[in-house]
Amino acid sequence: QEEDEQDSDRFVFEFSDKQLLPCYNLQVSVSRGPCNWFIFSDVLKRLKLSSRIFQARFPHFEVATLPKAEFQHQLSLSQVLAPEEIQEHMVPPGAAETVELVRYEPELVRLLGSEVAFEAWSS
Amino acid sequence: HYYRFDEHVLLCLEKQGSGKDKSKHILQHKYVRCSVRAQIHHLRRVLCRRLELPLVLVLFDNAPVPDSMTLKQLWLSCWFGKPAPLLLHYSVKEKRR
Repeated sequence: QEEDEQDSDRFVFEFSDKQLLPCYNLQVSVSRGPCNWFIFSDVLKRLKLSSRIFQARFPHFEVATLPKAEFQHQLSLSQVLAPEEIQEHMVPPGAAETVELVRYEPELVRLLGSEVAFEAWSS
Repeated sequence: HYYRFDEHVLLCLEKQGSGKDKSKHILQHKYVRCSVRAQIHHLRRVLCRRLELPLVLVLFDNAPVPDSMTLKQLWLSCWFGKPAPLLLHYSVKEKRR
């Protein structure tokens, strides 16, 4: 039991030899708290897969859609994103666009070529 | 609140200094992502394990970063408004032979 609790809340450290894809802390629906998401197209580009093949091969990875304006609004609240990183995702007002996201999780990160290390808060 | 739902920061870890040990104990995977709530001592512990060394120091701008500092504090005080990744250095201590 105790081990379970430790397992469920350890720090995840992701290591890579190449620049990591950005991920964003977003609340995608009112019924759940914020968590981390990649932009789906970034992931597909890095894996060189089409959306259809990705979703057929990895149906357990969660994909969500957010209106672009909402995505930009949440990005602008982050204290650790630079203005130019937020700017990158700006679209002209009025454009009805959405952003497709895929949820950050260790298994996906490994698929992207990173190594994952866990560290307990205390020990 | 689980750490895995925390906002993340991106770090780039370069080895401090040069000299004869230049090619030793280089982190093969120098790009790191972790929670804003992780503290420097968590990062140091992970680095020690990866480099198989007893002591690794984390430095910003040539100064050691305090162990209890969180990555968010470090980011806001040293890197606010700058693009990712936050550049950190590390120095290693080996046992004297």
